[in-house]
Amino acid sequence: MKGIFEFEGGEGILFDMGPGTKLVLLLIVWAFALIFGFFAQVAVFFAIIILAAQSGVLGKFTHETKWFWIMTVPMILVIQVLFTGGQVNSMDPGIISFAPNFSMNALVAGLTSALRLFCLFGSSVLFSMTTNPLAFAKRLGEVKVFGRGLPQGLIFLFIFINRASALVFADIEGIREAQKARGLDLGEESVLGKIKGYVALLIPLLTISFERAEKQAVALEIKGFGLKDVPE
Amino acid sequence: MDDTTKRVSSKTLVGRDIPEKLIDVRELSFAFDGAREKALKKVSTSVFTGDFVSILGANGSGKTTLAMAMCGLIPNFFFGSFEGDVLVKGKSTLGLKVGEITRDVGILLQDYNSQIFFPTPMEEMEFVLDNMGLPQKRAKETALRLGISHLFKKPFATMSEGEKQKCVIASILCVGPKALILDEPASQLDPKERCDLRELLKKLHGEGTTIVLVTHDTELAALGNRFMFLWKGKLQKETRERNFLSSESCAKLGVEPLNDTPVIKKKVKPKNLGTVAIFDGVSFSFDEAKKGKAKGEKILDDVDLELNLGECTLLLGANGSGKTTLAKHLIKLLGTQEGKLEVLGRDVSTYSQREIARNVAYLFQNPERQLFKSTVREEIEFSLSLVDEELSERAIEKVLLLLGIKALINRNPQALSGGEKQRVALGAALATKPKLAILDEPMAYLDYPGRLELLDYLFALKESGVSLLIITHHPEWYKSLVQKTIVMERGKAKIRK
Repeated sequence: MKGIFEFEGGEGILFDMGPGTKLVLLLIVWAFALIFGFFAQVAVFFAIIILAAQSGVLGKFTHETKWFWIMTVPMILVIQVLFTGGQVNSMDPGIISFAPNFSMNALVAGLTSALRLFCLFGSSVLFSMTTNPLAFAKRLGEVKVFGRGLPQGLIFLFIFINRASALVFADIEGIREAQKARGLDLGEESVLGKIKGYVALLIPLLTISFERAEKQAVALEIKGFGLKDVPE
Repeated sequence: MDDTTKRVSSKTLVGRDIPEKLIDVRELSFAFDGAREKALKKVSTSVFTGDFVSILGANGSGKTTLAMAMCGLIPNFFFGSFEGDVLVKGKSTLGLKVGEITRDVGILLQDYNSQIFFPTPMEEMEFVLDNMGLPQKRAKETALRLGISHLFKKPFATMSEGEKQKCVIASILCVGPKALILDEPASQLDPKERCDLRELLKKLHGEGTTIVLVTHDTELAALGNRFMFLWKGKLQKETRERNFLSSESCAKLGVEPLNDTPVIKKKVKPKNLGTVAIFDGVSFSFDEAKKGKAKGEKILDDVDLELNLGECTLLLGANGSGKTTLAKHLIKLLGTQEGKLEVLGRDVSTYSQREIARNVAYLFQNPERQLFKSTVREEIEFSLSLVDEELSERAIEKVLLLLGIKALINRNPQALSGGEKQRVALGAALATKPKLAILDEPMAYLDYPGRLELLDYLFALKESGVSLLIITHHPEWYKSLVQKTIVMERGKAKIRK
């Protein structure tokens, strides 16, 4: 999951595209996935894979979506084939009852549902992986609706949370390592020991997070955030 | 007049260069909210355009507080009792926005990583320029000026510490400040990176940037043309004489004299007590790209080593050369992939984490991550419980006395200063009476007196038969202790006796 939220940068169509354009493209893919049938889903599926490969994130993309393939796709297929009787494009699923249907139609219906979910989920993951969230926030800040933009405070919060959440993952890893070095390995502890261990993890994590929050606030002040209106 | 003493003139009066007073500190006293004592006491000084001022002093002497006052963070961000005044280009900083002041006086914080918000230097600079309402083309110009064009679009995550720091400096300088304040810029750098920093500072000063350098590193401070010494919040000494940096008086002000090699005790040859760890063809690589290393690239490459009981070994090498990875194998934080590692005659993989922690202590560079109890007493108790030692007052007191932290016994470890935290973490790690103590830059947060004390303590520890493995970029500090030096280079370990 960490990889989905951690933007690393790279080269390729998706990295070169502006965040606004990419958002529009994402919405088009979603519309495609929600409206059209099997062949459209297959086309979108291949488009996602090709775009991921062209942008050099195919490996990371398949790694991050593997649980979707392992868990969700078979589950949808099973539900479609065994429970809903393979009703394609049924708007009213009704009460789910055991009604196995092993026909080609049922299989295609199952695949369509699985691909539809993949197109929605996969395109969102690809968007997240290849979009610099801070550049996206900046772009949002420029958007004006009825002459008014997003409040600076909201963008500040977005920048702040985004940077902090990436660093918290690293902190947790560092603290667990430090605790292991002192002999506290949660894997070796009893249930009570594990609970105590997690509490022990929170103390340095909170301290470090508070300290970092202050440092980041200082850094944003230094960088003149929110200063645009002050004349030079 | 050489580069370091040259001043850039802003006005010419009757044919003479008159430097402009850029920062004027007038009778400044400041106490942080809730603090008992003032961090600064009636400090008066000035920084002129073209100056290169080095601010030195022991821990807690007020160096960073003064730097923060010079760029307006005090009193406009950090509140407290503020007396006197600070003027930047003749204008009081009181009541101004910090960003308005940093247009003229930029600051590189000690933890410069906190100044990074965007993935690449290009975006970082564009963000600052956008905030300040300045043209975006300045980003490229600054990168070109500082010679970091090749890093312009490189992700920070793949950069070395030195490269990252240079890019943060670029993000400060792109708005065109007259002065640059740097707070302990060398503390996380390896020798080569420190050398690069020196060259960069010389270049910037030569080009006319006023430099204010806050540091413990006397060698770096010697680049300056004015030296300020703070002592318990007071400006104790201000001089232009570089010779003062080599004097005994310098040490009395809590600053390591230049070219000083602290030798506490006579070097004693250790008794042959056997080996504590044997690396036999150990190799290691991460299964994902990490810290500038490609996926599968060897971090340790066929390492053969022996660490002896009662010996002090230094582990040197550039950032990213594999020092920490090697040390983490000894405490089972990383598992051996190829080769064999024995600790006290047993394969390291056969130890439980608790067992290995009894025999090998590890002091991290960031001690706050290691402390997770509510009081110092509980930290020591936790360590003693690992070795099933009787939790007696005497046992706890022994550790506290040894490290001089008895007064802190009921304090919350997270509320202590950097140096105090390090001592508590060291006490907690050593309470288990380990056979091997791994110390990662143990002097990083310490001032000169603190370093001397720690050196004395490490000597006593070694005398008692504990092996020391010290990861450092400053081998000169441990000259009187060391028996063996290991230099890591691209995952290979070379022994230098």
